[in-house]
Amino acid sequence: MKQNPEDLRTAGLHRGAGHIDYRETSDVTEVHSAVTREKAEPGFGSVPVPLWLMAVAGVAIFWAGAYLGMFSGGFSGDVFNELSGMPKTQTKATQGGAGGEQAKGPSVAEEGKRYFTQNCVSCHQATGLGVPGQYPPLAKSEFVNGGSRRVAMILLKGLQGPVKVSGGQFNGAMPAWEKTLTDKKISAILTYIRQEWGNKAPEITQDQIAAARKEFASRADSWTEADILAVPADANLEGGAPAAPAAEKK
Amino acid sequence: MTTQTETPSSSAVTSIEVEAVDRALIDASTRAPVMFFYTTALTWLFAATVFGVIASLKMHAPEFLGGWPALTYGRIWPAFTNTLVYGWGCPAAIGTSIWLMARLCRVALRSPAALIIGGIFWNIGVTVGVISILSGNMRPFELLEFPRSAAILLFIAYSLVSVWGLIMFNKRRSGHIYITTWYLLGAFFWFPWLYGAANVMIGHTHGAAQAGIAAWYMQGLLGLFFTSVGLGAVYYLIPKVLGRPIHSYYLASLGFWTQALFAGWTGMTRLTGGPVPAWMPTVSIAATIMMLIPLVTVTVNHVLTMYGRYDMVYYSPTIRFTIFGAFAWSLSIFAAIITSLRSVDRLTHFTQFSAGQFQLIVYAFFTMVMFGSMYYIVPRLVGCEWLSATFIRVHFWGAAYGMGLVILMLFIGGAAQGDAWLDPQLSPALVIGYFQPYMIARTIGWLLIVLAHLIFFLHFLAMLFRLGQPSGEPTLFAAIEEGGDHV
Amino acid sequence: MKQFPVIFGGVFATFALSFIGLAMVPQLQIGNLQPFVDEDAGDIYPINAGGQAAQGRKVYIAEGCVACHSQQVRDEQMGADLARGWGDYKFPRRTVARDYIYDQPVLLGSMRTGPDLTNIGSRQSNPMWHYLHLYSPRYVTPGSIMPPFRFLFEKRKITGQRPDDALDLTGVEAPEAGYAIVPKPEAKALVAYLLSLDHSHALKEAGEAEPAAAAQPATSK
Repeated sequence: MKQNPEDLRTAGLHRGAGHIDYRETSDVTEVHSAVTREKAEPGFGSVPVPLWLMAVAGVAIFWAGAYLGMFSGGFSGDVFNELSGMPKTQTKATQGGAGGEQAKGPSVAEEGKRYFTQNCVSCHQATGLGVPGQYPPLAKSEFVNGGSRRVAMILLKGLQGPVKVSGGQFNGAMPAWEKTLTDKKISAILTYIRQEWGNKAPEITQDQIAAARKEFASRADSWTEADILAVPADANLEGGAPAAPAAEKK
Repeated sequence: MTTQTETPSSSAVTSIEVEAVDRALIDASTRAPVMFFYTTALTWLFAATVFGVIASLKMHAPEFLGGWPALTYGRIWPAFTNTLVYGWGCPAAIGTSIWLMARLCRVALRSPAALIIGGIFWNIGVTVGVISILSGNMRPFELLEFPRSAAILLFIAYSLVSVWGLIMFNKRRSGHIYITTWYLLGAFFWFPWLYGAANVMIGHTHGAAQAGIAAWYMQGLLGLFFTSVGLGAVYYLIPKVLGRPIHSYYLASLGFWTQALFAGWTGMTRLTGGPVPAWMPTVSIAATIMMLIPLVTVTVNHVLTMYGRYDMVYYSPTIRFTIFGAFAWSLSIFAAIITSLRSVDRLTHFTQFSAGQFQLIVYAFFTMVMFGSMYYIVPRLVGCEWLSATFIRVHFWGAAYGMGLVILMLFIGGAAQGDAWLDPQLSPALVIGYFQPYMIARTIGWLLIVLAHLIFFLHFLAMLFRLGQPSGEPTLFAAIEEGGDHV
Repeated sequence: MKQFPVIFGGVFATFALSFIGLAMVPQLQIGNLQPFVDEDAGDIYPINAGGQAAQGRKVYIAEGCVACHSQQVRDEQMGADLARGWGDYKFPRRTVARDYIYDQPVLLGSMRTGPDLTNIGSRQSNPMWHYLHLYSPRYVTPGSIMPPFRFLFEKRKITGQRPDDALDLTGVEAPEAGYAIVPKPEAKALVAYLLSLDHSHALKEAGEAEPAAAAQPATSK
């Protein structure tokens, strides 16, 4: 393989297939017909870049430049939201998504569903059926469907230790939610779970929760099953007007 | 040496014949390394296909093979992407680059040993890397999962190939530098820098900046390396088989330089909305918008080069695969521009849509172009023709319909998934219900791909052992009326 | 020959630009962030989690959890992350670079086949839930397509008292009488890591976070 390619070339041409050696005996042009039948090596045409393509490039440059100018956040390492460099009105308009919905006024149950999704679904599941042995079901649960007092107590302060719900035993720890959820959110969640999955219990208002919060303010620990069962099953929270359709317009 | 047959017609040698024999010698000199890279690449492609089927099945049958730690989705998916990219993609790219480079520089390859050693290193590296991934020893960055030991082997191997490419270029005998050579030079140069820099920097950084480097690498690999080799091959094969020049030098030049300038900047679209300063994704989105220029120039150039000769897809396997790949590239850039915009990204980010875009570039574009170039190159290396047009036809339709179905399902399923995530009322388990039907259809697509790859693999093995047709006629889908000098 | 310097120089220069712009500059800008420190309140954030959580991080990487779970929360104009409560209920906010300064390697993820896990430790703080979910995802969440990680658990014959960490399984998943399913050390580490994923702390560069917990009791009382 030390030969000069120039030599090889003429050798290949004049002495046949000896140096190419595909099939030992045949002639190069015959064996390598794929190569000889080929068209010439490709070259270039010289059509200039059309004008409309210049226009496309111009559009791209303008578009990209405008995008860069609007959303660069001043190239600062501290700006993570691309809208923070925008004029205030624009930022408000985009953020209005959530606010706009509130202006329309979602029903208490809709709001409750939203807070339930954020806070409760990971244990009690979207189906309200919970997890066997761990998290009790809310659907058809006697605690959820009974008076408003028991269920509000559990939500505010949490529940420790084993508990029997709808005939099944459960042992997951229910955290206290009073520190993380507002009265409005708690009442919305309670109203939602009491009226979803075939449950048919009256709604619970924000004022009722505020009153309950005050009432149990001195209690530090979570409840146990015994604490809850000590409260009558049909006891309601003070202040509310149970099954009052007027409260719905609130 | 064997008996020497004197050529009686040597007195009537024309310059075309001289050129043809010249080409034959150059082709022959690249035979060993190119066939080595192709054979290993196809073996890995088969492994990637198996991994892809398993990963696809696991999206709707999670208990399938659930007891095997090595086959957990979290390991089989990176095993699939890495074998597809490093096991199949890079060696196929290297094989095609060697052949194209030798041809375009008109220099016979003197010492194939260095390339074969590089190929051996490369394959050891991929083997080590894939076994590491399956046993859980991996890094959590897309396409950088291989542990350091494997990465070093890959880096050494590719550097050998790169050095060879530059030497080749230096010794070239041809006058003008064809567009394919530009792309190949870019690929030879960019890959070691990308791979080396990303691997070193990943090891010495932490936090969000580290994710930025991984994103820069991933997009650079797809947009600079694979695109360069793929488009380089398209720019050679279409005019070569058609026997007409590329439509415009200026368009080709503009397409190449804008690609080189902007593709490297597009990576941070993978981090839009993430914990990096807002300017990083913004810059990348702007760069992706600028990709409109290479998209339009390259597409127009290919379309006008093909103009009036689209009937060639009925005859030539090479053209059929290559054109499919070229249009898939245009589609992939178009999809990248649309989905990079924040208003669309909020829907498609974090969904199967991005998996679809990955397979659009790596498979529908790059892999199809590589199949096309193999159909052109392999007969010239082994000295016989492809066995059966039917095999090629089954391969094409299996690969095209299979991957078409896979990508379409990933796009639709990804959009459904993104739409479901945007509704905060839907729990994660419900979101799955919105895209799972498409994942089942995707598995059907994968089964078609298995069939296509099996046929092609057997067909290739037949060629490797020279069981192909000895005739001088190319294997075409149908006879060309004006005379059979196209492949 | 004269084309060579042009091509090579161009190829070098174009690539060097993106390398500097997207790999080097961010490194200078956010590569060496320091934790937020309020010395008066003794408040430092984030904290470098060590011990079992750090071990669990390795399990998280080895099992490829990052293929389906992200650890980044987006702003509200970029999706429903905050509405889903992924930004944590105490300080609902997006994540920023400072949240990740101790992450090596960082696990942002790019796919959400499952939910985001940035604050899973505060959203779901019960270790038993995590054990059950890892052992049998569909036992806890019907419809899930998460792979089962049964190989991170072992079945042990109960000798004497039932182990404290035995899984509370009922129905078809329950082991036969006299046996218990207990987590291996890898599963314990992984759950310790998941429980450590809690970014509930305000950061000013993340935008105005309304500390829901602190403000509310004051207004209601």
